[in-house]
Amino acid sequence: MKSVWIIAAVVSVVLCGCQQQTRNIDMVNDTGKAVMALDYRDFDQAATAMVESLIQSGVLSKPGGGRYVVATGRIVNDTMQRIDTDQLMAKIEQEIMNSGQVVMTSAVGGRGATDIMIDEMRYIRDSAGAGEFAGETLPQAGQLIAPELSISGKIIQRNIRYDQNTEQVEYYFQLQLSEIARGLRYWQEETLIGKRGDRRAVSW
Amino acid sequence: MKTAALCVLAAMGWVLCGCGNPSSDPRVNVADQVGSDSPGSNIILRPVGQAFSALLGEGIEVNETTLRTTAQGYKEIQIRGYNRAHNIRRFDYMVEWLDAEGVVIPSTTAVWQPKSVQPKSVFTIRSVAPRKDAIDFRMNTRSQP
Repeated sequence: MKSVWIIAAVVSVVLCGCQQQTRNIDMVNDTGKAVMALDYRDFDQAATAMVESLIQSGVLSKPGGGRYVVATGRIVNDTMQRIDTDQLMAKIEQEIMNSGQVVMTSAVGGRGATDIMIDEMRYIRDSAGAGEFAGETLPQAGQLIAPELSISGKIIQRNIRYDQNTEQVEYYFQLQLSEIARGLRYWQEETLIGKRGDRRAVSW
Repeated sequence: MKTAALCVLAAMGWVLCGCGNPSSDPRVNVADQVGSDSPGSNIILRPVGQAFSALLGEGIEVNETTLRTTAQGYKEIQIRGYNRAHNIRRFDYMVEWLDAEGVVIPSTTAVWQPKSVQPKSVFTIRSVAPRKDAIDFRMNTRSQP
């Protein structure tokens, strides 16, 4: 009877030792295998291609100087994965702002104001609570700058049966830049990332 | 005798490795099994050439780097190279941009980008600086994990 307890103790110690260790990913030189779903490397790759294309196109250069005011419109996630499209757009917004050619607006966007405080302070200004603030520090009407350009797009996923055991997953990153006043589209780009792997691997 | 045989073998290898399908226009590359076979590249000698190429460890070479300024004032590079190998070469590259003092400009575009090059073919890599104060660059490569 005693030996059963000893065996159980030994087995539990061995099993605990087999647990997969948690390690930080080397984000710069990640040698990890590709995965069927979208991971950060795919977003990096797509965003880099988009930014380079956008800067190379020259459409962000405002005639007569100055900077365009740009809003992020609607980026549709048409994949089977639960993706926050900011994973793509945050990099693109950051780079085009750093390029010195545009200013992003937080006042409006495809999902409303990106900073809720812009709306919130205006709501307070028009409410009874306005008296709690020094009047001259509240945002006045007519101060917001309307965007001149809008970036919108879509991420599409297509799953294709490649053969009996293999599945092919295609991800299309599509973005376009339009002038809001006249509705003209100045730039458009598509980046395709394809993966082929075990049919049982989950891509959603 | 042994030395002479080795010399002949090596010479043959060099000849075979150097033999691609000729094209009347150097800008057009006609791949093996697309164009007509030649004495140096045919169904019998092609595998020998490929074996020698692998033995010699042939791979990517960079022939020309062009750095120019776009109309908007951003530096842009084009790197032109050639895949000497008889097989497709897949690798990653990363371009980092430097300012006038040689300091790296932080950018989300400084990430590994995949590149795939056909055998015995010219390839180009293009990259544009993320900011106007970038005046120089450095590029690194790695074999794909």
